[in-house]
Amino acid sequence: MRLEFMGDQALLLRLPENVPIETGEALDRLLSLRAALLRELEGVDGIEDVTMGYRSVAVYARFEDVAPEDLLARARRAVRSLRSLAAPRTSAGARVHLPVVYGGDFGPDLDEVAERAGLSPQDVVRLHQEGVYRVAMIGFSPGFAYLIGLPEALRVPRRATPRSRVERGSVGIAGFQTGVYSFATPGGWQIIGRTPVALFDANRASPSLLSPGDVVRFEAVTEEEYHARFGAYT
Amino acid sequence: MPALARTHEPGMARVRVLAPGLFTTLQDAGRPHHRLLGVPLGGALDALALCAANRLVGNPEDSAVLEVTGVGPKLWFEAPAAVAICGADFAAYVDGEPLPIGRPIWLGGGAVLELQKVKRGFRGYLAIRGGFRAEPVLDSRSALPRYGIGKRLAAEDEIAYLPGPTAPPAGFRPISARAAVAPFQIGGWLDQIEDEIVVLRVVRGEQADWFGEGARQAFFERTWQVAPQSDRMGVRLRGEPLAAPARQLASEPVVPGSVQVPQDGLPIVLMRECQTTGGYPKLATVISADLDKLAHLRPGSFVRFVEVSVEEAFRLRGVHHRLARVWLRWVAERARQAWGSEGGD
Repeated sequence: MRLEFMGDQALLLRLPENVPIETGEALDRLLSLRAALLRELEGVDGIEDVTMGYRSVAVYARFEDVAPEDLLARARRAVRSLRSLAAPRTSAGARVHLPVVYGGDFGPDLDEVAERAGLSPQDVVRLHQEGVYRVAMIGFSPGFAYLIGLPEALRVPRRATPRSRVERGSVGIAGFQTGVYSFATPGGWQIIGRTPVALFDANRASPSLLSPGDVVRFEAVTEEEYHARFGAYT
Repeated sequence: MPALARTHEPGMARVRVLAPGLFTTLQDAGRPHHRLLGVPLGGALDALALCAANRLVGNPEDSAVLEVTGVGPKLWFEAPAAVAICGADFAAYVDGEPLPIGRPIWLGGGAVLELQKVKRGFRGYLAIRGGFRAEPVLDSRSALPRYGIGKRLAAEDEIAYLPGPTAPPAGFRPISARAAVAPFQIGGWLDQIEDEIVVLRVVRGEQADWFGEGARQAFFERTWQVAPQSDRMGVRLRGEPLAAPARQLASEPVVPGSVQVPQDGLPIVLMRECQTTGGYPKLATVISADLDKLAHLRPGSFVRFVEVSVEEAFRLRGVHHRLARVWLRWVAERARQAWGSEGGD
């Protein structure tokens, strides 16, 4: 584990490069690390956020209220407390089913993904639904969940040219990752479908539908069902 | 979309937008507790100017203000108002008369305030006693229009505020029949706005050692120019491209001030409204003592970078913070005296 300050605004704890992301091993270790950090930092003034990347956890702090050396010492204690545990504990996240309309106008890249993967579009849709995915991190836009667990056969690269606008709810594939665009934004992932479910709503008590560690499955629905459930929050 | 204003609340007056300016939004101190879910920090890009403008009208430092950019708005005030403008040096007018900035300003009902083209710096902050009214979303009134929170002001928009004193306090100098200004001016922040080449102090970025020695040197030796595509998320630079590393980075957290270098070799300096994570290698990080300077870079501005150690960055952060506290206490005290018994909190 490597610890370094990000400028003078945050402390980053990074796993070694050889810890695999795709298998969920990094995620398991980071979830445990984040829990240990939250324990060590309980009651400490000036802690703003403890966030996650694919291979790292960041502690954002107001260093007027907490000394950098103090934060560093607490972070080291959190890391040591993990080593003393027999095995990383996999925390059971929430389980969420997302309805998806695959292909057509909602999934303009389905055929290209199928071609690149050497499969039929029906196989792509079936395999994508068979996957059991975990939220590794949230970023890019509020509520955008980066999901791991994509079946190997579906791992195709990003589009050569990103789109200037990807619609909200679009379900995409990029290498080992799949995910849902939480807002209409520019984006380069291969879009195979769209969910009517709102991934983020600032006016909800819990604005983001998903959190790191949650388990997600996709389920094909018809366009009628899509429209009936548009804007739902499952 | 949350309401911009509650104009029907009893006792409230309205400010009406006659012309919106280049890019005008409500901003406060932002949302520092929602990064895990991908919500940007946001808030006023010049945090010190936000605090100073609020202090000049007797507000808490983090009340919601209007952040104006390059060319400011033209606003009509329904009722008297206690206001102040800090940050960039705008050519300000009230009812067509030139108005000094950096002072407590009393406006009478019906006054028209206009912030024309900026003369120095890029972003200005218009505070009003009691703060502009808007529904908080995730504990902040900062607009984040990209994600459906708040909006960019448009003509005919109205924002509610609590009316100010019915007459100018004693000692205020009249500007027009409906405006008067306090006899003192604060301008300390203007010294921070450099005219020719803005020097930004940075520490090593998380992927600095992914870059070749040549690219690292070139980053510090070159003078960079701010590209027009810059916004509240990031300042895009142009110049001779750097050799960018070919390695792929798994997305990881970033901070405002992170200097990302995408494949095209042209650095992007992230601003306070940046996304919470990024997948481009980061060559450097602007120290927090220099973050407010980013607010005043405009397309065409020139930028250079100098390196400091992390220890020095933390020391400078402490010095910056202590000086800001002392200065803001002085501003608050002067403002309290100027407004007299009407001095707010």
